[in-house]
Amino acid sequence: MWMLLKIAWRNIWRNPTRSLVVMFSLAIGVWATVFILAISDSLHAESLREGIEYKYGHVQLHSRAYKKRQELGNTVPDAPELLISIQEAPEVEAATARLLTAGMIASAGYSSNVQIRGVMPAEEEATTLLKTRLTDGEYLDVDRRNPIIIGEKLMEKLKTGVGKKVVLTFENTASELVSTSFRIAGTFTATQVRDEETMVFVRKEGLSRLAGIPGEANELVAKLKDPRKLDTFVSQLKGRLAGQEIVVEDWEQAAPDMAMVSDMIFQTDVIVTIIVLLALAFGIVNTMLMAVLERFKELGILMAVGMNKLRVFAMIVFETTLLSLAGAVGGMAFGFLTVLLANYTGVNLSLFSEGLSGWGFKEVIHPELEARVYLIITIAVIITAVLASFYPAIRALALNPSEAIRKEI
Amino acid sequence: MKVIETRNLSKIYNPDKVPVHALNGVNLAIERGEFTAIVGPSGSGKTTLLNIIGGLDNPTSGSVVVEGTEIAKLEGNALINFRLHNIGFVFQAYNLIPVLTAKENVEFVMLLQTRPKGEREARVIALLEAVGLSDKTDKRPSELSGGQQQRVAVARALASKPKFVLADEPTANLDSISAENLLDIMLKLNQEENMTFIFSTHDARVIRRARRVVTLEDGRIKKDLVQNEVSINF
Ligand SMILES: Nc1ncnc2c1ncn2[C@@H]1O[C@H](COP(=O)(O)OP(=O)(O)O)[C@@H](O)[C@H]1O
Ligand SMILES: [Mg+2]
Repeated sequence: MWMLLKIAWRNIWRNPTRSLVVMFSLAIGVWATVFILAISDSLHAESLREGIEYKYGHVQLHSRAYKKRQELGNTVPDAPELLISIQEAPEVEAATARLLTAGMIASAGYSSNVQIRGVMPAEEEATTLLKTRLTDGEYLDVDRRNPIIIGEKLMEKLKTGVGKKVVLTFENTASELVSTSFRIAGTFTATQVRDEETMVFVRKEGLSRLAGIPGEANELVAKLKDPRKLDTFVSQLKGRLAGQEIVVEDWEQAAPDMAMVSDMIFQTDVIVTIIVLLALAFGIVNTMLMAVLERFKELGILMAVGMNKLRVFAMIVFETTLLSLAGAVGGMAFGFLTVLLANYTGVNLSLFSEGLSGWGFKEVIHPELEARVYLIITIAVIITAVLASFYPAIRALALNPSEAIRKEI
Repeated sequence: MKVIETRNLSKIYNPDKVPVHALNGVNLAIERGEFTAIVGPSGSGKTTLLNIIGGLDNPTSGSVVVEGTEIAKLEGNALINFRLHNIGFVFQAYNLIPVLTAKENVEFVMLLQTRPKGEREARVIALLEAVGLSDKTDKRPSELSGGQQQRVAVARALASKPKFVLADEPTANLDSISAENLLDIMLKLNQEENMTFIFSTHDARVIRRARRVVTLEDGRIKKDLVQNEVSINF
């Protein structure tokens, strides 16, 4: 076994130029893969983090009725008491309640459909950092009647400005249209353009009174101290609320669009890796085939003196794998350093940011790659190398020692 | 005691297209401890005969029995394994694994036989000494002369403790001094270890060293002589 490894390793260096070319191309392939995966992984992590931090929270609670029909009147039973008990849970960093409804916003000359989000200013800030995303004006905690915060895009669309009045119209629980004027306190920005156009924030307290259901809420959102405890916390909460008309969901269930992006990115990662490895596999097969054909006579003598087929096979598989691993490890080391550097300097993606920001991505990202991914790439390269070595190895086994030895080289 | 016996051995290459009758009914018995040269002009069937005796090729008809085993009946790994444990090979050239040192080349067959480390090391040293290469143990084949390479090959052939050694024109690529030197070593091992050697050659000086000379012509045994006069230069 050791001897076979030793022979395999030394055989690689019989034709250093050829081996180095293979190693180099493998290194470049792996390096590129590492870099691409790091960027896409970071985009993914970034979009998740933003989705969770700015919008969905880790855990969401709704009434069963609201999950079926997103109507104003489908409120969470005993929301205020429930909110307090959630806020007091040791795993919870912050929690808030919201009252959500569809409605229309109108300025002097323009109008637009919006989702009206009635929020608790202090709790919302603690949970989803709404205040930190203000670009202009003031937060909902201003001492003024009916403040509203709208997205910058929406403000452009309505041709209005901070301090100006807008009218919100929506249907209350008694199916009557309610129209009330609000004054724009501030504007916010969101990574997802759609959110900037369609979400408006008002105080829940005022909205619930206008809706005829003072103090009620139809969405509770919690942010955990440690996201790794998500599963246990969710099942705990489900257990506690069992039998009640309340649906507890983690962010994956509450935001299937985010889960879809995750899946898509993962699939893209897999496809990129497979394409790169496939291209490399052809190079490996070609090189090893040349090596085997060159050593026909030598292989014939090895088989003549008693090296059995399994050992001949293993020797060629070892040689291929070592050759590939050497390249892969080099590429990975180089990739690791590149990712480290890119993480430090940041990578500007503004070239594609129009497309990306729609999905909730930032322009400058700091790529990072988990150690696990390096391990996966290593394993993938080994599997590729072993598979790529099969054809040359089978060709070697097919040779007839007496003919191979007679062959004049 | 007979180590090898061939019965009515025939070999036809390309039986369908242009048949070449390389061997035509060869009956040959080799006793333990013999030092036999197979001689004859080029194309007379020497290589074919040695390859069939060594289990590297199959006869078209007839049989080869090595100490009771009919080797044409072995196949695949069983045959490879039989060669590993019973036959030592020395070829005309390219015998050695280029990436292994002299020592490693000799040790290699013993590793294939999974012999214990202590035994392997002792035997490598003894054999390299016997072929006069104690000072070249860590040299790769490319750093050795042709004669030295063939001596390593002889050491390797003996390392597996085979029943006999087959050497197909072992001196063909050597100058006459190296050739005689190689024959001296083979003869010494033949006498000291009672190792059976069968080698092919068409070099008169080599033929002189053989105890028994089997002459092939057109795939038939033409003469089979035992020489009493053997000159040995130790
Ligand atoms: N693979 C082969 N196919 C066809 N003919 C062959 C093959 N090998 C050897 N021969 C022929 O068989 C005959 C005997 O060859 P060989 O055993 O090599 O003789 P020698 O070793 O005495 O020179 C020659 O005529 C040679 O051309
Ligand atoms: Mg020949």
